[in-house]
Amino acid sequence: MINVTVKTVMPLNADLKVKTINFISKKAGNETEIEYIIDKNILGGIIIKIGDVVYDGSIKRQITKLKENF
Amino acid sequence: MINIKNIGEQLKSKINTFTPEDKGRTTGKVLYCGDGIIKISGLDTVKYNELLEVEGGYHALALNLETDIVGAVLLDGESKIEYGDTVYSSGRTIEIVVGEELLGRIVSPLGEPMDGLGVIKSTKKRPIEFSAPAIMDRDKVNEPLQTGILSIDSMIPIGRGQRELIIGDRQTGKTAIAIDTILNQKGKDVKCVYVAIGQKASTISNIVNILRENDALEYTTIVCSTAKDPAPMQYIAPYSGCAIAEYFMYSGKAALIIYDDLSKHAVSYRTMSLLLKRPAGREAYPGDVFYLHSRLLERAAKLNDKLGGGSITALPIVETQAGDISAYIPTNVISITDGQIYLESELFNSGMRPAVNVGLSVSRVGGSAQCKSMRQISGQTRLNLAQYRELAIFSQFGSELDKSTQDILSAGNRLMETLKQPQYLNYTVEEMMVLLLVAQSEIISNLNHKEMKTFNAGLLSHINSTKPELFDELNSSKLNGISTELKEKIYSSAKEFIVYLHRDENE
Repeated sequence: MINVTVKTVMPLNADLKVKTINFISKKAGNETEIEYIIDKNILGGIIIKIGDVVYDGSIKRQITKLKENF
Repeated sequence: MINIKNIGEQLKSKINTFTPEDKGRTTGKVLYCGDGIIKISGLDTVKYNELLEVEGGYHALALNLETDIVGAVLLDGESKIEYGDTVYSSGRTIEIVVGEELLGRIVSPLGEPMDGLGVIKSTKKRPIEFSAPAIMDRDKVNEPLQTGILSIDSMIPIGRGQRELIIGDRQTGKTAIAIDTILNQKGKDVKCVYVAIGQKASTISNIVNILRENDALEYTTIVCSTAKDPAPMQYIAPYSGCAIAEYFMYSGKAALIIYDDLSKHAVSYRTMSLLLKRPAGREAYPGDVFYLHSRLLERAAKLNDKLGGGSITALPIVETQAGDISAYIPTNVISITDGQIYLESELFNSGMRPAVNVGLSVSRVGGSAQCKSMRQISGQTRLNLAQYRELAIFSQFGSELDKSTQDILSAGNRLMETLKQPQYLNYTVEEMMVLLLVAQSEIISNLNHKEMKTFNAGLLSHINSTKPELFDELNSSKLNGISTELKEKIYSSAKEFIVYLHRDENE
């Protein structure tokens, strides 16, 4: 079993949830345990953590990235 | 004029071109933090020497990869990191900005400006660790790099692409030689990089002022890690400096890099290694302390014409304790470099400055880079000096000396006097040739060695005002060697000047 956490600012709707699960199963197969977390601090977007690997698509990270590039 | 509307437009276009890309990044958790070291669990895909990002915007360098734990050294934020903080891998090694924009600037080993002159606008970057040029990419060292110091350029010539160690006790003028060499590169299209490793901030600020006063800062970059910086910063400083110099080399230019000094570099690496619990070897240095310096100095090279013919000349500095050149670090660096300039505190205190011990100093490849006429003139100098030194020790016993011995001694005294050179006074090659020719001739046998200082200075200005064409002739004789007629012309000028110097006594 691989632990997966999905972090968003609001609960995912059905369409997005399917997309997310597809993404996770593509990366880690079907043997996963998904935990959904609501976190306002990430400002928007989504953070998916599969095992030790983080896919950070949050607005917060994009802003810090943008700041680094200036 | 700054147009406020434009700023908005520019910002918008910049934001539009920005593409946030996010591949998956491996993460880990901080298990231990202390003495500038962090231990991390997780991070299973991390590579050796990879830059890590710690939560809160701090950086670390992965150095120990073990079964469950990664050991890393912190580059910043030592007191801010807590147990359990997330660490991200970045998939790249440390990079530094490079380019012409860095000339005249003072930067940290990470490329951040330290001089308050604003951001460095270069977009070019290079990794600080880079493999040295391959054998087939190299060319023979065949172009001289003039230090402007008579005793070095005549007897221990340095070529572009050479690595020449400057070694000596504290307070023997090691940095002075390096700074003089930078000053002498003015107008010669050599880009200089001065790397200060664990130096006092006051020393660095002095050096900056000297370079600025002499208009040498415009072709020099200073990479500065002071004694207050953490050990990892001091450890990466020479590699960063080398990356800056490499940019010039690979774009076909000549670069000069000074590492001041590598003993402190070894000490900072020892600090890191001991804290990382790596086994300690001789003098408590880790096993790879030789590789630490060899991989750095191998990056200095002369490239072949196909690659642009650029070069990096490296002048590493090593400080010895009580003249002991057989300590660990000095022997290591001596064996890596193409020769060494050995400075002695005894010579320094007896007023011989620069305090170069010509007997123990060598240049293994610079000879082929020296111009022919200079080689011709300085060929005997080394022997003359060796003979003089031997007799000088013998004569200290106060025994009666015959005439020929006395002659050798006084000629040696005059030659030693000629080799003395005040700081920040650089001779051109032509001036050096005149001084050495005259100092080794019979003409001045009547001069007392105490007069040599005035004589030499006067002779140069005398030739400059009466026969400046002599310097041009010397310059054109560089390739084919110096002719007997030209020698005679110089001798006759010197004779003229001796008469002039002694006119008051004769009257």
